[in-house]
This record gives sequence, structure tokens and C-alpha cells, in this order.
Amino acid sequence: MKLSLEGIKKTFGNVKALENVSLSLNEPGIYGLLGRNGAGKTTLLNIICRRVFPDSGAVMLDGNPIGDCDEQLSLFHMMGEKTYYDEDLKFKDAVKYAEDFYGCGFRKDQALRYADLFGLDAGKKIEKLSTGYKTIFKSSIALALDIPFVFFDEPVLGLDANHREMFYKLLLEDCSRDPKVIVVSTHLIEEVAPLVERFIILKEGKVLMEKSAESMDAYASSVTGPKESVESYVARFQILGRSFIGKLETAYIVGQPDDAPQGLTVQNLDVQRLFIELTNTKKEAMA
Amino acid sequence: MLRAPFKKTLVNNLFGIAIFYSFLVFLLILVPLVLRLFPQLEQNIMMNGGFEMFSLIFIFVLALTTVKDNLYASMVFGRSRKTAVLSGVLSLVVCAAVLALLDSVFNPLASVISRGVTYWGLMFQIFKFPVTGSPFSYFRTYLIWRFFLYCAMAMFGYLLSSINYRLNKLGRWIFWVAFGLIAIILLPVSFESSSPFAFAIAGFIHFCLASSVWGFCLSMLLFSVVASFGSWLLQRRA
Repeated sequence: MKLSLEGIKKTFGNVKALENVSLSLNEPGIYGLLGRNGAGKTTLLNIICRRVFPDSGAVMLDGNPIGDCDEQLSLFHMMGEKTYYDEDLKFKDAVKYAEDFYGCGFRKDQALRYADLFGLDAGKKIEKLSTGYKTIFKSSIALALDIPFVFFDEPVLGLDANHREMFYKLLLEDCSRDPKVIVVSTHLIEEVAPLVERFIILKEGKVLMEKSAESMDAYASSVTGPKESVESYVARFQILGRSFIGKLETAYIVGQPDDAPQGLTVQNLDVQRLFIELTNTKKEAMA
Repeated sequence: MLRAPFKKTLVNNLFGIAIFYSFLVFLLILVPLVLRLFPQLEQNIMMNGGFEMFSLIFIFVLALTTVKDNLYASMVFGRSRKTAVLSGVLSLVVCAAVLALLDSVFNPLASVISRGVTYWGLMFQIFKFPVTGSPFSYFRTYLIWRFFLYCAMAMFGYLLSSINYRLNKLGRWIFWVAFGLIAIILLPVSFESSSPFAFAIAGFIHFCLASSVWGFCLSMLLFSVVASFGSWLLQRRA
């Protein structure tokens, strides 16, 4: 199934949440949707799932615009930060509902297994759960879905390190068992980066970058060494940013130089560093 | 595709009806006790009224809560707004039927328990529809009458809740305050006014609500259809 977004625009009052966003999510795999607070990540996912309506542009599924149609919408699930479940709903009941709604697109046993693995009390009402367990509640449902598009918005919110690791493991397990388009929107870039096959970076409502994980690794480098040597060497590159520790300077540049002089250390820029350098404001870069 | 959201909403709402009726039955059981302890109350006891007023308020509140639950469930589990509204409306119609049936059974029972106090239901007493025939035809007529009345009230609640959902905080304040103010202003005006326009409106309302049982049912049905269509218009871009 081919999902594409064409020229999506959305404003909330005076705030431009999305500006002319065009994207394609065609190949099954894990997509990392990255962006700073207010970059438009949640709005984008909400628009795909028709929870929010764009001012202009269209979301197309196999060439047809997604409308108010059950057949199309039942192919999507969004596990979001906001809890849309009834406050007094228990996990065991939510599982029954999910089975009723998605039919064979939902693996009830898997959901119950995930809840058990995370130590979620299936008989406890969602309102009585902590933030972390509310996240587990929603994630366990989303992970057990066998539908073409599953979106996770802040899926590790409030989870401890052990549960986060478990979530990533189950996400990989799920994606390899039932290939589908999984979009993970998170601020924990370092943790999610090893899982992601394709990155989409949003900045101020626009798509700043869309690259595969391999291209992302090869996109930028850091050059570290004495300030004068670094400055003279990186002058011919596009510089993303700089940081200083004493007399040492690290410059973040686009490209992978292979002719660095002795005394300079060149390394691939990890995704988190690249993200920071790409999305820093001028003030932040100067600080 | 409609089955799952319909089932979810209906089960939730029927659970509400079960709680509501448990309370009413409890009250019903309490009546003989109260009458025994305070015999002077016998002539003016609450059973002179009916269950309709309780049921009307109950189904109105039920409809108010149905909109958000239904819409959110549809958002989480991949259903359209159309299905959300349709399942909400259908479940409320079923609830109206269940309430009408329960009221039709429990009202005569209440009459018996309250030692034969004449009981025809408060609302029905106001309209004084001429109903003749066997006890069965009474039962059937009241049942149908109640059903359409409850349907209209449910759809009214559903519409108001849909409007409320679409408005922002300021809009909600303005809407609800205006709603109350209009009612407060209109009430004395409707008593005082002698303009032909007011009489025409009053005549129309009388024709819709009090000309005959079937006219009343048809008016309620039309109102229900318009209100549920309005709810769909409001929710389709919610």
C-alpha cells in the first residue's frame, strides 16, 4: 500500500503547524519522525489518521484521497500521547474492543502477552495507571495490530530504561513478523536510531530532511582538533555547527572527508548530533 | 464496520439504564414503606407524576455523554465520523425503545404498589390525548408515544453535545449562557405576547405536540431526524 502526503498545510490560529508537507510512506519498515517541540510531528500523524483536518493538501492511499471511510481508516492506528480511551476502561476490555473493531487485524493473545511482559495489571482502570503504564496500555494494543500503518507518537513517555528497551525489542519483533509501515515520533533519538530505517526530520512545520539510515550516517561528520587546524581544514565544507572544549574545537560538517591532516579526528555524525545541529536556533548555536 | 462501535456504545448505555432502573425500582420498593409510615402523603405522593420525567432527563444526559465516547473510540480504532454518529444514534434509539418498554411495564406496577393511585404519566396527563380501547391498546399507544418522545430528547442531547464539542471555551460560555437567557426571555414573552406571529408559532407547536398521538410521534420523529443530521454535520469535521 502506498501512502503519500501532498502539500499538507495546517495552521492553528496564528501558528503555522505544517507548511506544504509532501511525503511518501510506501515501503514497510520503521520510520523515525523527528522534530523539536512544536515542529508539527503530532499534527502530521493526526492528519494522516483524520483526527485533524488539513487546511489544504491531501493524504492519498494508493492514489485515492483518504476520506470519511471505514475501509481506509481501519488500516491505520495511532498510539498517541493523548489518551482517547474511556477513563474507566481496563486493559482486558480494551483488548476486546480492539478485537471487535480490527477483527483479524488484531492479535489479542499478543496484546495480553505484551501487557504481561511489561507487568501491566489488565484489570486496572486506565485512570488509575501511572503515566508509564498508560503508555504501556496504549503501546501493547498498538504493537499487537497487524494492519498496514501503525504510528507511535512518544511511545516511551514515562517508561523506565528497562521498559523502553523491552518496547524497542517488541517493536522490532512486531515489524519483522508483520511487515508494515511503522512511524515512531520521539525525542529520544539516540535510543530509537538503531531501529529506524528511514528518518524524516521536521523543522517549523516543514520537512527538513528525509533520508535512509545509511544516508543519514554518511551525511555529516565531526572534525575535532586544535582550533586553528580545524578552522583552516573545514573552511571548504558546509559547516552545521561548532562546539568548544578548552583549546579543542569540534566542527560539524556536511560530508565525509577522507583527507584530514594528522592531528584532526574525523568521525561520522550520529543522528542525535546531526539533528541538534540542523534544528538549533541561532541563539542556541551561539550559547 | 458499524457493528463494533454500535455494540460498544450500546453496551455502555444499557449498563447506564440498568443502574438508572435499579435506582427507580429501589424508589418503587420504598413507596409502600413511606405510605405506611406517612399515610397523610397518600394523595399527593410522587406517583402522581410518572417515570417519563426521570427517563427524559436520564436519556438526555446519556446522549450528552455518548458523543465524546463514541467519537474517541472511532478515532482510536480506525472508524469514520459517519460510523461514529450512526452508531451513537442507533444505540440511543435502542436505548429509547428499552426505556419506553421498561417505563410502560413499571408505570402500571408503580400504580399498583402505590395502592391504586391513578397514574397516567405526568407528560401524558398534560397533553390529555384521547386514548380509547382495550388495556393493550393503552399499553401500545403509551409505549410508542414514550419511544418517540425519548428518541427526540436523546437526539436533542446528542445535538447539543455535538455543538458543545465543536465550540472552543469562549464559544461554549456564550452558547450556554445565550441558551439559558433565550429560555428565560422567551418564557414570559410567550405568555404575554398577543401578536399573530406568536399565535401562529403556538398553533404550530400545538399542532405538532398536542393534536393527536400520531401527530406528536411524527413531529418527534422529524425532530429526531433533523437533530441527528445536524449532529453528523457538526461531527464530520470534528
